[in-house]
Amino acid sequence: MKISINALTKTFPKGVRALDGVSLEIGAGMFGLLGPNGAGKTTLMSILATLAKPTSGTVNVDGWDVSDQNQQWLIKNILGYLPQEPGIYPELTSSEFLQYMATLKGFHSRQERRAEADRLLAVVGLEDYGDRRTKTLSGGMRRRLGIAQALIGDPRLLIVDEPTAGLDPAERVRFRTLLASIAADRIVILSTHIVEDIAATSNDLAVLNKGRLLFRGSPAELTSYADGSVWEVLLPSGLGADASWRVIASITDQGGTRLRVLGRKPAQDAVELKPNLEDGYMRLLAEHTPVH
Amino acid sequence: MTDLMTDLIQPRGGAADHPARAPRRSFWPAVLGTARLEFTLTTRSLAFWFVQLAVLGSTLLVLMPDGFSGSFLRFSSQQLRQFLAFALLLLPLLAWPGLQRLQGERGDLVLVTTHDNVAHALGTMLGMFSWLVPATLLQLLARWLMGELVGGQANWTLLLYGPGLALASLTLGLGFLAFLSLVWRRILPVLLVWLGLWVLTLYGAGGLLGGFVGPYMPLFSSWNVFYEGLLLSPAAGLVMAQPLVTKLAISLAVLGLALLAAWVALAPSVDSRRANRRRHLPTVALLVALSLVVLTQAGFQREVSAQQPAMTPRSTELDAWRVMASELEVAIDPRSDAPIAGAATMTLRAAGGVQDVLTLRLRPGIHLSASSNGQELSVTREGDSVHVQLRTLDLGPDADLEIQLAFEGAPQWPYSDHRFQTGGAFPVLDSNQPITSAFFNDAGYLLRDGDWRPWPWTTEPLIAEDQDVLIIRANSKVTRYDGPAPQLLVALPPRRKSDHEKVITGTDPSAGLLAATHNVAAGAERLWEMLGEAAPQVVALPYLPDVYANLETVVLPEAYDLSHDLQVGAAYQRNMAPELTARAGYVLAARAWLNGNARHPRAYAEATVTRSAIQGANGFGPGAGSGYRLLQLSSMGPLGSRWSELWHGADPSLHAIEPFALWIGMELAEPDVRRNDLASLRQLTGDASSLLELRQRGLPWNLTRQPSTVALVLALSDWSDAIGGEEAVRLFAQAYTTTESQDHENLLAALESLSGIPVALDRAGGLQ
Repeated sequence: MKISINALTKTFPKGVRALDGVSLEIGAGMFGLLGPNGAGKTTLMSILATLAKPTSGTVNVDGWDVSDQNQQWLIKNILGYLPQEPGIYPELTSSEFLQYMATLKGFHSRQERRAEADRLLAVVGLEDYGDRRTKTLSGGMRRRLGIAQALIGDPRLLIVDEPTAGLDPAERVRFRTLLASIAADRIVILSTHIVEDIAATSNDLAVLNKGRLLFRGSPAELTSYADGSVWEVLLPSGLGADASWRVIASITDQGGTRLRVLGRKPAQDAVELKPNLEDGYMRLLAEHTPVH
Repeated sequence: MTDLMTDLIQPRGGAADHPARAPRRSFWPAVLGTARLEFTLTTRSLAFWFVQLAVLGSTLLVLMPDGFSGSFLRFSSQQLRQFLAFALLLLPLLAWPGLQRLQGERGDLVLVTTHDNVAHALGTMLGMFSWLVPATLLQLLARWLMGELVGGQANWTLLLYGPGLALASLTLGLGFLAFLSLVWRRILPVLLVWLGLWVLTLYGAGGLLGGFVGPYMPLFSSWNVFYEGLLLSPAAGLVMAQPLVTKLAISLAVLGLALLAAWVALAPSVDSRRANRRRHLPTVALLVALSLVVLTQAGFQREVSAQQPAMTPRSTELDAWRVMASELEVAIDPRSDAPIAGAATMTLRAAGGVQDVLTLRLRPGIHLSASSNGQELSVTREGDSVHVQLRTLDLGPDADLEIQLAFEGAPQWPYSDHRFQTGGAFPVLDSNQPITSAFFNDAGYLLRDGDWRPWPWTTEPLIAEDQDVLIIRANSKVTRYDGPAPQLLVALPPRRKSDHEKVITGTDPSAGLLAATHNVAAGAERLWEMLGEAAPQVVALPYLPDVYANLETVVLPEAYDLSHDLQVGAAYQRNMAPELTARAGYVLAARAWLNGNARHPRAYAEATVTRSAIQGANGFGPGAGSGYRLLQLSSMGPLGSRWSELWHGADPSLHAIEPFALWIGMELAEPDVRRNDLASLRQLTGDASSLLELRQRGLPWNLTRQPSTVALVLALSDWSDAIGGEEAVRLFAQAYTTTESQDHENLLAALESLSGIPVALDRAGGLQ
């Protein structure tokens, strides 16, 4: 199973171009879609999830065209989707919510629905919260419930849009682990602007910025983008950084301020550092963003 | 259907070589799941219970002004109206969340599943009805129960007709809201539009507490979503309004369903995420629904037209024929489709020379054929008249016309003649409302011979000059009348009797009505026995403004507030001492007898007056407009309406029966009641305390403004003290039925002549 995106463009009515000629192939496993806010990630996710129509270009999911209304139903049939703001009905219990979604996904018998809900509550660690109204769950729990509904029917394609936004670190780690564990035999597309999430879960990723595809490859390849471009500079107390430096981290202690700078060697005494994924991502964005 | 669904979702083109997992067929389970969700979400919301409480609270708006005093005929319809007014006002608070469930990101979760727009819309609607129907039933049940507990006036019509009528309006409300959700996604503009429409509709229906608006009954308007102007009879339900109301409710419901179909069909156009798997189905459903809207609206408008009164032809010439002799035999069978069937032989004389046409007045609904000496005559109907062509007969200038008539049918009364919008009767000359009416199969009564008997247009009573014979076959009995016909022709039972063998009421009479019928039955039994007759049956019926009687039957209104509440109201009161309500019932029995034996000019027997007479009597009237309505006047009984009392001031008509009814009722009452009544009348001063005392004793409070009535009652009481109560009543009955004119002067003279003791009006005392 694979997803083929070819010269995909999406322009909104007021002329805003959210996607601009994106071409991409996505195979099985975890796929990270990285990009700053406004990059076009959510628009791409919506098109893949059959919620939005492309302005031009084609998108095929397992050979089915997302623009064809008849074939959309087949895509929906293998799709699990967790949007950025999942509309979980606050008046329902966790179990009722999952059972309702199971109904919509073709679970006809009550026993089937109940079993599926129980199974997925266990998968996401909410087995003790099945009878709780969803409005009483924490933000992390609601996200987990969201992923549980996306997993109903064991979908072959799972699209998760910004799932960790707003979660505390422990919940974020827990959520990432959960995603990684279910990515073995399906396509899981994780859209996020948080590099750490991709680093912890994905072996394949793409970077979008302003509707354009900037990068496609592995995390190591993206990381290598910053080879020889990451430096550490120690500034004595009282001195400020040069305005031309692209500072990506700054730690101040008694000895002065330790800066992590991206780009050419900023000073004679700067020490080259081994880049990480975030450095590669920032380097990539920096190349495509003019410095003011 | 599911096969069709599978066909439509087969991949085209590039996916043919993929081992596609066929979508599971989940249409109906998804519909039911969505319906269940809608029910759960709505009933778990605080707004739902808040709205239910608020709507329930509006019950008091009916109970407070009407309930404790008991306005029986109005109770059910007023409760239905108030329920709808509040339920429709607050409906957006309950329905809007469901209609917006898929809007924005909230809907993404659902819209990425194979759940299509049609299934979702259908499920949402089913879900809405799943809380709307039980909530409506429970609300109406609560109102019925409250009426039962507080006012003693609950009746089955609220539960029998209320749900269907209410749900028709609420369906329209839901449809309209769904349509608005296509235009606006935010609730604020919807609420503003909704509130504006609600205010306009309510204003058109006469305001929150009802009222009089416009020249026509609002029931004739397809905007009447509150069913303003509807009266539900405890005896017979919708009665004469049935065809009108049924078609109105159906047209409202169909319009609502069409708007819902439009919502389903158009939703994908305003939200590109939505898609109908069976794309043509909503369009077809919408077209079918629109066709039904056109058909049902046209049906309703046809019914509105049919319910307008039949006009009298402008060419009608009054008193063009004199009826010299009439022999009529009529059979009454209310269970039949043609409940009245008759054959008449009449001898007619043209008043002004040779006539080519004989115009008879005859209610629409009764079909007539005519012949003369074996020759069939051509007959055409025009409005409330039938023209019989006489050209083929060779009638000389002075020759009488001998004609045979055969007729049968059910006389039709247009609902526009019943303008009881809020329970108050209209001045008869001010409205299109003849007070008599009839309905068939469940019950029937005819108060005027003019309502069923073919007769040339005349300004005189319907009595032949030389010989008048009427034979009536009804209830396996044959009765022959020589001379004046009975005005109360027949009164037949509504659905059930009460436990009193002589009392016939609806299936769920209020406590007040039951008390009134029993009191009237007791009074009638005593009075009829005094007069040597068998006790009559007492029948409570709708559309009656007063009590009437023939020898066998007394009819009385289901609701006392239609008219004459001053005279008849006390008999229905629940919070009055039993001996006083009993006396009030006796007064009603006497009043019925007096009405039934009245012959004077103001009696209901005078069913025809000229247009100019109507206008002359009262500077305004129904003369304006395109048609005459000659068969229009029917007085509000010999006493005239309460309105005429207000107009005529303290001097009642010389033909008023009120003093006689009051006196006879007091003679039939317990001695203590009679004594205290007379004491009250003798001490009457006209101030507020007198008025209050009259009210407390269940006597007409307007006696404080009618000294001549009070004096007459006291004089008659003094006279009966002298000769004995029972004997006095018998003598009065004899005088009333035999004197040439039934005016007061003649009657008092006849009483003196029969008893040898004068009725000393000048020494009676009382209010001066």
